[in-house]
Amino acid sequence: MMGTLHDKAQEPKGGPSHSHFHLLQLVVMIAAALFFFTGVLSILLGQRPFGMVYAGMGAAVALLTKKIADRQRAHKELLNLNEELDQRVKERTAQLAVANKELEAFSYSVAHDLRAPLRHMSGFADLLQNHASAALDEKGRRYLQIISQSAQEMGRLIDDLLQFSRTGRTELQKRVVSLGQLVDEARHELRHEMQGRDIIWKLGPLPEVHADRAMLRLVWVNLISNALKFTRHREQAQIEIGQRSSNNNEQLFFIRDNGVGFDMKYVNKLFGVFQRLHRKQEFEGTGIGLANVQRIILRHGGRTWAESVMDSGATFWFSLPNYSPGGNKR
Amino acid sequence: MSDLKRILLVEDDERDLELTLTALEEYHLANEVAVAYDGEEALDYLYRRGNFKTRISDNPAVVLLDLKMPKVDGLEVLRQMKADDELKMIPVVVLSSSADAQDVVESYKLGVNAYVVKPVDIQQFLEAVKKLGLFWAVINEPPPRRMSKLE
Repeated sequence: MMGTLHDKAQEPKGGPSHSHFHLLQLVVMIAAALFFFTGVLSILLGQRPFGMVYAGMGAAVALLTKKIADRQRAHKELLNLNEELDQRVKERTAQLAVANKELEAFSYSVAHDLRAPLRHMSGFADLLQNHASAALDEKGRRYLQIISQSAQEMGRLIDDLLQFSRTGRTELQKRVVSLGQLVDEARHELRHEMQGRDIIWKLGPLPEVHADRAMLRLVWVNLISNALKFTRHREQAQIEIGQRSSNNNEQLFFIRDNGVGFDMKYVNKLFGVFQRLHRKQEFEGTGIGLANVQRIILRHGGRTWAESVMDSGATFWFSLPNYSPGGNKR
Repeated sequence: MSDLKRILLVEDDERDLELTLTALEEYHLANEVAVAYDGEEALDYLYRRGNFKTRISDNPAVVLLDLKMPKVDGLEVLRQMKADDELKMIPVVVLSSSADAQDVVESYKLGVNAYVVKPVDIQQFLEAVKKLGLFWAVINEPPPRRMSKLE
């Protein structure tokens, strides 16, 4: 495959302009050699100063011509290499597009075909419960309940996994977005989780950033939802959202809560897919929220990290590269 | 009660069909449900051809349409219905397994009247079907049954 690529890349460059240059070089080289030999001959014949000039000129021109030829060759190789690279990039891009399409079809099929049997499992388990409840004892009813609950849980896992796959594949639609507004929207979306709770919000000013709106919104929904979840047992929850300046080329953002926190021993697991640091019976969830956060931030060229003291709260951080309008941000 | 409006349920999956019918039964709408097992049958029913040549002449009050079906899929049924002067007046509700954005957008572009994702949770599913049946077959005023009468 490499061979064919190479041939294709060379063909257009080996054209007429190049051979033309070769011919010119040959003529100059012959002229230089003639000068040189005339000079040497003249020296041998006793015409020393005249011969020196001739031989020197000949040698100088020959050397120069060779240098030019070398540079020319290097330049041509570079062009070839560039073209080859270009070709390879095109080919890879095409392969990626195909892979992406396949993945798209795959997740579509997962969404459709995997959820149907789950719906049937939970559905018929439930119908059985209605139908034969009287004939079942306590244990039997509990088993049925577990069946339908498990099916529902798997449904959520599938949905979350699909979303996670989407955040990795969807093209980023970057534009200027107000982070503060996204936080407000995220809080509005989560308002049901705040009902009947005493929560003190400390919201610092947040800047505008250059990012994909929907994805960054998801980041805040996940982070705020986490903060709400893990402060659930506090009489009064405190959630602080803000920005820290950094001397690097990035902006830092954080969300801090006074919830149960986590053991720093497991901080590496925190952002992994389907990783949980609490038992399901304590705090529900599929364990994909922070993986989504990390993936989205990484795709924006930023970083994520977290710190916590067990039983006194956690702080989640993420960074975004500085955005200068008209700058060379990609 | 004989004046109950009819529902055309287009569903290829037997189990989904049973669940949907169970839900409709609870509102006593089940004996007013006509079933087509794929898109082709649905079109046969709507155009009164094939097995449905002799079906009751009034059109259903609503079509509950699955999307992913063998032979003719739901989107194609929808496309043909909305391109037909008479059939396009029948409300169509897509009842699909997925909330795939492309499916939703395409359905609305073709003129679907509602798009409902079948929930995995059976209670929610039953609830959704009941509400659909109740709204479209009881509350909603469908287009006049025979267009010809008006003309």
